[in-house]
Amino acid sequence: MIPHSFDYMRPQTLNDALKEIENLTPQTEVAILAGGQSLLSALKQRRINPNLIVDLGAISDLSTTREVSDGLEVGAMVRQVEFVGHRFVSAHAPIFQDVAAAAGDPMIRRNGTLVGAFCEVDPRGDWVAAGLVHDAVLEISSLSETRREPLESFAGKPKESRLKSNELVTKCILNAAPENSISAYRKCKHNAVGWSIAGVAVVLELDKERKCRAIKLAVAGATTFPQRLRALELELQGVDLSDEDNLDQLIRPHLAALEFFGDSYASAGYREKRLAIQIRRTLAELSKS
Amino acid sequence: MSAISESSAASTDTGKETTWIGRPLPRMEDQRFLVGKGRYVDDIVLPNQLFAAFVRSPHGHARVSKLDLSKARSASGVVAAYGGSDIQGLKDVPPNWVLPGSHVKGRPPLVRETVRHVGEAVAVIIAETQAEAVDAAALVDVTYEVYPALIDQNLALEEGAPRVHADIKNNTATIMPAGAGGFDAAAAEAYLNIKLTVKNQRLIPFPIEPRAVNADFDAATSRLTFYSSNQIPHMLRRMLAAALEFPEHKLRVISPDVGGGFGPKMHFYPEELLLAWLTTQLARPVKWTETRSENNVATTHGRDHNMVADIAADADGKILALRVRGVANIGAYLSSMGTGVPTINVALFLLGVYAIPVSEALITCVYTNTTPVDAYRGAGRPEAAYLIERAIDRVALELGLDPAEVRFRNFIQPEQLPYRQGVGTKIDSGQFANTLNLALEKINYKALRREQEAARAEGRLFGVGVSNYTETCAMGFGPLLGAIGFDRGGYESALVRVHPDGHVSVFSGSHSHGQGHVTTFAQIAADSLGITPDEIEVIQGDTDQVPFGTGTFNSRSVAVGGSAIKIAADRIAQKMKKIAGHLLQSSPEKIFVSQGVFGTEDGQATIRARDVAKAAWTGHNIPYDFGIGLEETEFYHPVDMSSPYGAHIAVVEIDRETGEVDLKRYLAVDDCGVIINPLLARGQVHGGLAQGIGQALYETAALDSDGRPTAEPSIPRSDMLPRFETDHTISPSNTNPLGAKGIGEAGAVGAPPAIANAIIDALWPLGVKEVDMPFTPERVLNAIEEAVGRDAKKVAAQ
Ligand SMILES: Cc1cc2nc3c(=O)[nH]c(=O)nc-3n(C[C@H](O)[C@H](O)[C@H](O)COP(=O)(O)OP(=O)(O)OC[C@H]3O[C@@H](n4cnc5c(N)ncnc54)[C@H](O)[C@@H]3O)c2cc1C
Repeated sequence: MIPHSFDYMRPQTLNDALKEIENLTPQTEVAILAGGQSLLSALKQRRINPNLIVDLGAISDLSTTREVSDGLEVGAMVRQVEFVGHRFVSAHAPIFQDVAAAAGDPMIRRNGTLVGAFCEVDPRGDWVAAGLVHDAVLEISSLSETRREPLESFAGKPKESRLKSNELVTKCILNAAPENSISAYRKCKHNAVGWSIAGVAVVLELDKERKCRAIKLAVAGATTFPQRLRALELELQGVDLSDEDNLDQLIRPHLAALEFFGDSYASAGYREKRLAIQIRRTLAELSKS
Repeated sequence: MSAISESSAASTDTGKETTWIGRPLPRMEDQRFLVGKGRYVDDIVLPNQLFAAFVRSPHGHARVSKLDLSKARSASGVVAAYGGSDIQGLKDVPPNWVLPGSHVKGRPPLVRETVRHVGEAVAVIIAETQAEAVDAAALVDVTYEVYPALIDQNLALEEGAPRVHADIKNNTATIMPAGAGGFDAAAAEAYLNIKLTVKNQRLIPFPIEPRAVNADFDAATSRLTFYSSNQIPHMLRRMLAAALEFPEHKLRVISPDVGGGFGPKMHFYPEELLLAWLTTQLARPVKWTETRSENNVATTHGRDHNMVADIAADADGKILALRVRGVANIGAYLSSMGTGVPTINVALFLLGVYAIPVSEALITCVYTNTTPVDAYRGAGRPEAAYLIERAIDRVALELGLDPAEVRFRNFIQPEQLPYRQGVGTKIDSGQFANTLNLALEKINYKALRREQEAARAEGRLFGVGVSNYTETCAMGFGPLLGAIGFDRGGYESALVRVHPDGHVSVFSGSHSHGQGHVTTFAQIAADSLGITPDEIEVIQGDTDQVPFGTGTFNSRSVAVGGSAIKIAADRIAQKMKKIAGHLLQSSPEKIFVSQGVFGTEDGQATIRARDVAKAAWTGHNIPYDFGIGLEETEFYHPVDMSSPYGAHIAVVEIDRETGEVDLKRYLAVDDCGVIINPLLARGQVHGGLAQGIGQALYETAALDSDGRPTAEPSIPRSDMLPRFETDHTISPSNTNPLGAKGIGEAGAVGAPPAIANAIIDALWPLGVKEVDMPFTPERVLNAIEEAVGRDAKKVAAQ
């Protein structure tokens, strides 16, 4: 498994990196390398054949995390394991600990970055689903401009239109979960690589009667891209989440409108069924916790 | 019969015992693997090394209408490029187990015109570096005229199906009948008649190390040194020499460390023949290491056998007659053992460990547009065990009897042994009822059945499954192999040499591909010679160092290869006693040896083994007619095989809503005769179970309509397997001097039926009678929904 030959740049500063990708000739296809856990497989299998690779690994500025008001900024080169070990995660975003226990393996999480996982937007991306319920925002820079885009809209776009060829993501900003909220990421694993066939991320606030006061809910693994189910979130407000029969009735129609994918292990139809069960069980579990 | 528990086995390792056989020695070979110092074919880089890369067809059935190598040939670093028309002189790679009367189509080294399976090599590029070879391969311009591919063997047999090979009617390579017939008459009298359909799905074997070859022709000496990651280097030497028309005495095959084989690494492959030919053409070494993606489509697959059984039983669950029709998919060409595995290795074992008076089988081997299918851990025996064990359970469930009880009613009884089955195999030994009893006790079967009742009362799906597999291992006896068209010897070689300093070299024709021979074989020799295993080096896998041998497959290494070592080492021990007797002025019968010291019976006089060895190799001070040296060769040739067997029990709970199967417990009680090293035997059981459970729950090649396997084939990770509970009973085999049988394949044979039976046991109350492997959640859920739907319809109709 050998990739096509390519030019390789390892700039020392963000500015140098941005210069590298500014004014590329139309023939130049560039790929940004972060932890490489998605990119390297794609290169080796020649699913993508870029002729320039810009490695962000030497840019120390991108390896920092910073607490900001009510949130955390995570640099583009912060590894998943570093991120998960941050105080902010245990205090304000414990759902990412669930994700870390279920996404990839220790070697992958040691190399893989959070931002890289966000940029990849794999349909099965566990990290993305958790990012969505934390209202993650990406900071995107080119030499001339810096802009911010919510992960939710970024993930919903076709791959080609997410980033321009002269842009890269420098960091993401995660919001803290509301005080007194509870959360969970629950996934049903594909038997081959352990990716998900149905994953659900939930951040939930319960009222005094332990009914749902507010909820953020995102799914991955079953649908063609990870997404928030906002209409379902609205409908769940005020609902008793321990009533599984009722939940089941509420959830299914919301899934009917979504697009699912499948393979020989779990068809699209099965994933839809399984996702409905996964959502219901996760909500019921949280309501009882 | 004795049951050894894990703790008592471990406690024997005190270092004080005089025998090494039976002790759970840790593997002596592991250090180098653990520190990354293993030496595999891909680690070997020769001076002047060239690299090969293949262009492979993405289509299952096509005509190559254009093949343009010009761009590839002019790419940087490229030394040569070949398509099918450039290798005119090269023959197809022939199979080596051909059932008499078969229609043989060997594997072409490169596609000549018609592509017959996904992954078939269309061209090969040779370059100075691997990267250049791979880059140039991407520049090869191929145009395919694509035709529909024939994937399913049953469809390939249908009237009017297209032909995979124009000159082979009905796509049929061979048909094998077995048994004495008489099913219909027996069935007419029977209380119960059932039809059962089972499928052993196609599997991808997945050794961690894919295949790798480095072929090195030395024009100065006209010698060809051929490195291959291979289980049977001596057979490879013979097959390669014949196919290449190369003198066998100038061909050296080296198979260094091998990272897993599971069967596929004993077959002779197109890439091997081609690289051997290329190095003779280019007079430089040529290396190729298979990628994982290539391994999925170019290395042989396993199983893919569909069966329909008719079962006739009496009201007590005694099976009176069995008729089986099997249709086996052998792929596009006959790989090495392509016709033998699905026929002989299946039909002969269809009756398991049961005395079934009437039996008939008919197995048809069918060509399709798929990767060739060949031996994979168990090789035919899993298919047979799966059928008979499912059949027994089905009879039990239909009659409302306990499946374990129905087994007791059908077992071959001890006084019937050795027992010749109606379909052909001979069971040498075994105490089937005892082994099953031990398993039932260990798992507390009665309590499990109570637990099941309670679960059912709550609407939970809880199942218990038993299997009593058997197989025949330790392949031997040349004349028999000859009669069934298996072009291999049935012997194994050993050369044991005691050096003047008392250290010992053991050369064996077996070849470890992960089993731990270095340790077990040293234990065997140590006992014969009265020394410790760490004074012994075991050498395998190089035909210049070990001139003849047969190799490792069919769980034969200990029973046949180990026996050869024992016999050779015993002979040396005799000679050493003779010398020691002479030197100690005592008669040899009165000499015994322990921990490297020879002594007289009364303990008065002793001499170190190394002093005996030195005397043997110097010839000083010993009678002339003793001869020089301490070296013995044995070609051990057993006249009979042995039949390991076991009782396995699986416990499952199924999530009714998702179809997910929770394998809660798995118990394996195996009888592999005398155990040389309980730790390694257990390791073999664990590995076999992982693959057997993999087949049951997870694995499938899942070919698409072109014959392309799924992009993400599954093998179980450790978190997908239960904690294994294992035990052994020991019924020594009388077919070899060690009393050993074979354990390598046991788990892979026993696990699929145990799990299938547990799942069907769980689902039976819902009306589910058949589900096919792998029992993925979706399949299980579909079976549940279908059965429940049928029920609902019935209710509505009433
Ligand atoms: C065997 C295996 C199993 C896995 N299992 C799981 C799993 O169960 N669940 C799960 O969620 N994930 C899983 N992953 C995926 C893994 O978590 C992520 O894909 C990976 O960590 C992505 O981060 P990275 O830093 O490695 O990104 P890279 O592979 O370096 O990049 C990913 C993509 O994003 C682009 N990119 C990266 N950083 C930037 C940037 N700053 N700006 C612009 N573009 C950028 C790259 O060009 C590339 O296209 C698995 C991966 C492997 C190899």
